[in-house]
Amino acid sequence: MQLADLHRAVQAALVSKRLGTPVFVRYLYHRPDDKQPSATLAKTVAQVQGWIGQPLQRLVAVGTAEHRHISLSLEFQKGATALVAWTGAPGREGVDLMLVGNHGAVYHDAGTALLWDDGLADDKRDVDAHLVDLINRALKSNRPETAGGKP
Amino acid sequence: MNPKYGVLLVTGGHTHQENYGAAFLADPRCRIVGLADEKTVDRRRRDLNDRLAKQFKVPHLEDLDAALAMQGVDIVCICAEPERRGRIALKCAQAGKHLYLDKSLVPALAEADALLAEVQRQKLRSHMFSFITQPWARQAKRVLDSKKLGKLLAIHAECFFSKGRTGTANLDRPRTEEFPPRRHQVIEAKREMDNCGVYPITLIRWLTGLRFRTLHCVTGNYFFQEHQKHNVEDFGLIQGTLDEGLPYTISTGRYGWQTHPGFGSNRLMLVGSEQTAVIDAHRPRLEMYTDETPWTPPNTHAQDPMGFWSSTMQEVHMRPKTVWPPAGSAPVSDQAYFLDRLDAGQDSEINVAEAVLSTEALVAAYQSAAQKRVVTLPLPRG
Repeated sequence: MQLADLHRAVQAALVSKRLGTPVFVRYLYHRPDDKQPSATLAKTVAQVQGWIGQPLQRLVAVGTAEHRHISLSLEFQKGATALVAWTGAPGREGVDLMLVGNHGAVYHDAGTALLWDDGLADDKRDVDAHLVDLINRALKSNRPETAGGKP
Repeated sequence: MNPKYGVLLVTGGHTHQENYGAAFLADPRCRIVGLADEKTVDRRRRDLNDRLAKQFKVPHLEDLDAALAMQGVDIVCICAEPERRGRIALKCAQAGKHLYLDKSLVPALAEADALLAEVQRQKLRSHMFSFITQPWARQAKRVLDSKKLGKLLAIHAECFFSKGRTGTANLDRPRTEEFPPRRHQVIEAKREMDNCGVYPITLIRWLTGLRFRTLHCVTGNYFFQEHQKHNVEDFGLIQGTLDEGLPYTISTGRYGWQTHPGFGSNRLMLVGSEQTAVIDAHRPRLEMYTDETPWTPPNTHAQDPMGFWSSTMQEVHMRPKTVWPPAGSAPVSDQAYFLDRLDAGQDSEINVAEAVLSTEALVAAYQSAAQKRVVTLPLPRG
């Protein structure tokens, strides 16, 4: 299984309407060798925003790259929220995901299996420079940073 | 064996007293003196108290003051509604009784501080209900204490209750939080960031021994019209730092009967410098699939649509979920834990002093959600 497969599967679950409207995503990922965590976080935020389907309104960040953990709480324009966090401690790469809709939820975790054929390295999407800037601002300010409703 | 402890129950049916009182009743160390409450309670509450007293076959004492003056009361188990809890707990502490308290402690910080001052002045033992006796929580504590993870870098704690008929909240009305919260509990709904969120908040403090220093919170009305109608949240997301800048995150709420195969997601992620541990209340687990009729939610009980209470769920013939049958060792009950600590002459790990820290975090969370800002703790007093 590759990261894109997981993302597609989640998207398919949303398209099926079985979950209802997505209201909350918890996306914690483990990537020890990430040299640019803000860029990877920006990709993940973009992915989550795509699932939520609402403009990002506010973002709060806690942690540092030096301490190998950064967590972001995201607020979207119509009230949905998300928690996105990167961990760079040693260990196997993987994703711990819960997407909650108003009619159900989808869960994914690595459990005890070796699920990842080639880790998280297959995410070839471009990085949104505005999101990277927003994350870096939030990491410095320690307060909610407004995204300006950028979809 | 002569029972060692006389226990007075305060407040009866349609509270967690249905469970806590039953556990004290079953413990050979205890004798239930009676079930009491404030004289001024309304008729519905008096009838519910009377019903549970009859079920337990214990005296229904309608005057709490008189009950506290009786001989042989050592412990008071308080399950009054959040808005009455503070003054009742303070009165019981002033009477010199050890306290077994439902969660969360009290809604207001001033009430929490006053209770703590009295408990400390009288040198009382106290305990607030929590998850610390759950095997998975104990496992997390052992993992952290073993130092196998190295230095703790971050912690995530999650607690969702899988109850209630979801999909009825109007998502076109994003929640606007109020501070201070005007009410915490009505018949149909509770403030779920408080009701469910107190568990991860308490666990993070218990596991790390660190204090909450900054806190940002967002609340939501994602699932239930009942919560929306009464302007109480069904969801909370909390993020911040503990002592030494250690990051923590919490997601919590009530998300519907069929949103989880068990009783809901209960999960800890402990990020260490050497390893990361994910500890889940449902792992490892047994899974069972049969040709039985699949589980369906119970009919909605008019007096308890969210499935808060054991008695109402019996009345609507709720069936247990069966796909993930119970596995692993049964936890020591929270009530037995408190009695064990009393026997040993020790205070609880979640005594009133600890519970006050959870109250402070919850108050800060509502303030943050209402004011859309990061709140710094400790909160100013007065």
